[in-house]
Amino acid sequence: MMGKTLTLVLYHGPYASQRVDIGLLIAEKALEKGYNVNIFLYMEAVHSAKKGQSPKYFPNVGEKLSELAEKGAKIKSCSRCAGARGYVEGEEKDGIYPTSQHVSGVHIANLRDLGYWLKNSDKVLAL
Amino acid sequence: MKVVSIIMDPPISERVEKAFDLISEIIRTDASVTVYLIGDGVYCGMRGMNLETIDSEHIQVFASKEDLEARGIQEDLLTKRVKCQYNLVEKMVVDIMESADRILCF
Repeated sequence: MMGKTLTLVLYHGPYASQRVDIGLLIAEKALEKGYNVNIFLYMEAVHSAKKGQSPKYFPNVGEKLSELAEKGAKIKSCSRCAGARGYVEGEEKDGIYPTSQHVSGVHIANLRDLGYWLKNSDKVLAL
Repeated sequence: MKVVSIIMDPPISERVEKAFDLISEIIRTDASVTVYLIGDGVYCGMRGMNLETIDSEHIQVFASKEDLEARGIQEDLLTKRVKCQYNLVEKMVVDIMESADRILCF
C-alpha cells in the first residue's frame, strides 16, 4: 500500500489509564487521514485484545481494535508477552500463534515483526 | 528541527517532571517543540503547573478541549500559552506525520 505509515507501540494495559484509548484514537484519526497504521500490542497492552471485554464506564478497547482492523489497521500482539499471560494456545504456524482469546483482527505474532514495522514506518509512537 | 511531544500524564509525577526538564533543554537549542496535552496531560497546562516556568518563542502548547471539559477545567484556569482545540488529535496526527522530526511521548 502506498502512503505514509504510522506504527503505534502500546505497552500499557487497558482501563487503568487512558493511554490505550489515546493510542487507538490516534490510530483512528490516522486512518481517516489516509495513512497506513500498524499497532503492536506489547507487554500489558496484549490484554487490550482479549475477547469478551465488558467495561461498564469505559470505551471497550477490544471492540475498538476490531473496528480499526476492519478499517485497515494491521494489529499484532507480542507472542512472548501474550504467552506469559496465557493467550498462546499452540505452536507458531506461518508467523502466527494460535489463540481463541483474541478479538477478530488481532494476531499474536513474533517480536521480529515489530522490528520490520519499525524499519518500514515513517513515524513511530510508543505510548 | 521540530520536536512533537505528547503529554498524557498529570503533573507532580516524575515522568512529567522529566518531560518538561527535557523540553526546557531542547528549546535552548535551535529546535522548536510543539506540546500536545492529551488525557490527564491537560492538567499540566493549568496555572502554577510545569508549563508556567517555560518561557520561549520556540514552544507551542495545545490542549484537547474534550479532555479539559471531561475534567471540568475552564480555559481561564490555564496558562496563557496554552491553546485549546476540539479534535486536537487529528491535528496532532497530521503534525506528526508531515512535520515532526522527533516525537517524544510521556
